[in-house]
Amino acid sequence: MGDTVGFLAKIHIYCFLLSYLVSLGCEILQAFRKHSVATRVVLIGVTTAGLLAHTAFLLTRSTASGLPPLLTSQQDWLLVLAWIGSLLYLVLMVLHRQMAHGLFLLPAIVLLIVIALFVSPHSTGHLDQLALRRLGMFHAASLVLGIAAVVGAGISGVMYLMHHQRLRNRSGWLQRLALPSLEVLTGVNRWMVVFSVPCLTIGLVTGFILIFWSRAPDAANFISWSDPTIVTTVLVWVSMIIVLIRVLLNPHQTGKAVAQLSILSGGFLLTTVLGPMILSGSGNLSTFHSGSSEQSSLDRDDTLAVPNVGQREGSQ
Amino acid sequence: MNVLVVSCNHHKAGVQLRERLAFPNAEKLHQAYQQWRETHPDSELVVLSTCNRVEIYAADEQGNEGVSFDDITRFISKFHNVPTDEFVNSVLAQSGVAAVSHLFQVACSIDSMVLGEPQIVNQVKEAYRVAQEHDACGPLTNVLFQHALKVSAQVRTETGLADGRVSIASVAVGDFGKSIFSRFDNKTVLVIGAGEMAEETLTYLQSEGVQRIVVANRHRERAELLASKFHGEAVDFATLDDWLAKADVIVSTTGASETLISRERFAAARARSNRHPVFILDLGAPRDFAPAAGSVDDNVFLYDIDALEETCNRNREAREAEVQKAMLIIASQTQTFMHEIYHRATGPVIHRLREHWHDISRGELDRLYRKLPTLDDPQRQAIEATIQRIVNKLLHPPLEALKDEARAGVPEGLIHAIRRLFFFGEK
Repeated sequence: MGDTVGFLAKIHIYCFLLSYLVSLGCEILQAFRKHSVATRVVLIGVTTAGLLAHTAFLLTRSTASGLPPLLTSQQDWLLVLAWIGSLLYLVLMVLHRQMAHGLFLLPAIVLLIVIALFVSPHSTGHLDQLALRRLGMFHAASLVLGIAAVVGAGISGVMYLMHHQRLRNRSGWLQRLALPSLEVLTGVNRWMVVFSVPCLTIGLVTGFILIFWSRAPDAANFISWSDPTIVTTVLVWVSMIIVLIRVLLNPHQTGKAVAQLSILSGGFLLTTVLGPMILSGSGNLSTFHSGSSEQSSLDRDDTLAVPNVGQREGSQ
Repeated sequence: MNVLVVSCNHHKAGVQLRERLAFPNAEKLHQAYQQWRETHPDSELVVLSTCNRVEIYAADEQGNEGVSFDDITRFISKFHNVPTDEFVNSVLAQSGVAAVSHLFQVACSIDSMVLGEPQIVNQVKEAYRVAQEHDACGPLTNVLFQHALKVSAQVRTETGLADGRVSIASVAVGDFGKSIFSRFDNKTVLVIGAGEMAEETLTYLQSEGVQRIVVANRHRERAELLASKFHGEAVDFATLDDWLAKADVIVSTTGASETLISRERFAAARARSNRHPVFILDLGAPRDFAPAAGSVDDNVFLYDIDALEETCNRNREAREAEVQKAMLIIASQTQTFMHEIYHRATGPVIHRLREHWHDISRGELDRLYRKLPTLDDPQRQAIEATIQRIVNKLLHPPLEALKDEARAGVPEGLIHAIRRLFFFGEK
């Protein structure tokens, strides 16, 4: 048992990042050459191995910190997002073997993991009470799902535009890509937009409740209204609300227009949410979520942060 | 004896040129046969005009002195009012064995855009029927087209060429339609025109689950006939614009000689719709939709016949082994056909020579029997058998020489020599 735990603890981000990169290489090979059973076997094997390593990594981190992955650190947020993406990719690969989903999902997964390397791995600012931690978990889960939906909308938007280009202009190299129908992509795109809004809204509302709570006189940690993560999440929420309103209110909205809006929102998400995460990870920006704000400065050192949390959890 | 074909097909010419040279309806074909008859009364003619090809088969029994490629291209140019130099480099001109092999390939759908498609056989049959109706066929084209239809049946039976996706409709709907829509059971299909291609497309669309079919045709009776076959609805041609706005899938296969739906007309129809995605398959030749209609908005996906080329090439690559099998059959049948034709050319000479020599022997025997009236029947039979053997032995060398020569082509020189040697003065 101890050996297994020791082995799992040795899994590094690079292990599953490499697996996903190999999968991406296989997908590119399949897209431009004839599909072969060997490539497919390698693809499924490598992706499954990557997903298992990814899962083990998150579980190990969660066990070590005594917190669910979403409350551990911003890095884990991104890794959970990438994990959702790779699980979805594996399911799609098994169900729709001819489709080139991987060419779109894998770059996003790899990008999230690469960004995670530059984001603070330190523990998020601590929430002292159990009720607060539960609310914090709900808050983080809603936001991650909302962000996943925005990323999904962006990816389906890119797929839609490429497929649209292929069908309208019959571009040579695009003809080789097997993509879902425009009708399916439009549906996925619209539902992702619709789904992202309540998730982000719930995430924001619970976040505001946490801020109010943290501002109580007896609270140990103080969360600022101007925390960069909070500000940027509000901006993403506003942009998704605008997209949703356009989707719902304009009956003549073409799939292409919705796809373009989704890509814009996805891009906006990348710059506003992931940007501050990277900046805070590099120490250029102070934020509660990166565990780098003054209130949580005690937790900057991993060796201090994780036992502290575990002790608090155990004392409840 | 000469067979020629001038072909403007999808391999060498784009749809823009093909539609300029097309004979899209019965009226145009009637005019074409009339004009040809006026200028070439002694030659045979069959015109095959489909969305993928315009081919003119001409034949005569005068060999090199008869109809030529120039005659055919001049005729096309004059009929369509298209200068020769605008199409002469985009057409295929073949004669003799190559022309026969080409027709066999066409009839077997080896030359079709969609390999193995069954419509082409009916189109070849129809072209032959129309030529017969106009008295344009003769001994050569009759035997040529009948043989082509037999070869087509043989290829279909003995190869797997016709297995799988083998219609233009199935390729178009399978490749483009399914890239746009994930399901068809909730879609409205508008069919403009009521010909064979429309029926073929509807058959495929119905197998994909289409439930609402609307047929619009200038002749309402034909629309009703087609609609009833597919449990659809025939609508007044005057309401076409309303249906252009409502339909999700539009299949247009009319024989109109001018563009039916201009960009402006289609834009006006789209303005009345909610700009839902629409898949338009224009199989008309000339095209029924102006190409610019495809850019009215982002949700219009307009395809003409040439758009299917890449998919069809992939389809062809996947069935290369069947193509090889079919090509072997075609090569063998072309050889058989050419032998038949060459022997047909030598047949009258051989028959005449046999008759001539047997007439001479019969005359000499009669003279002998008059001089020797005492000969009994067994003696007469023995003499007749001897004479018969002598005649046959004398006939054998020239007939064998004719047969040998006929394997490589019509032995014009030898036929001429035999006529000069044995029939004195006959031409």
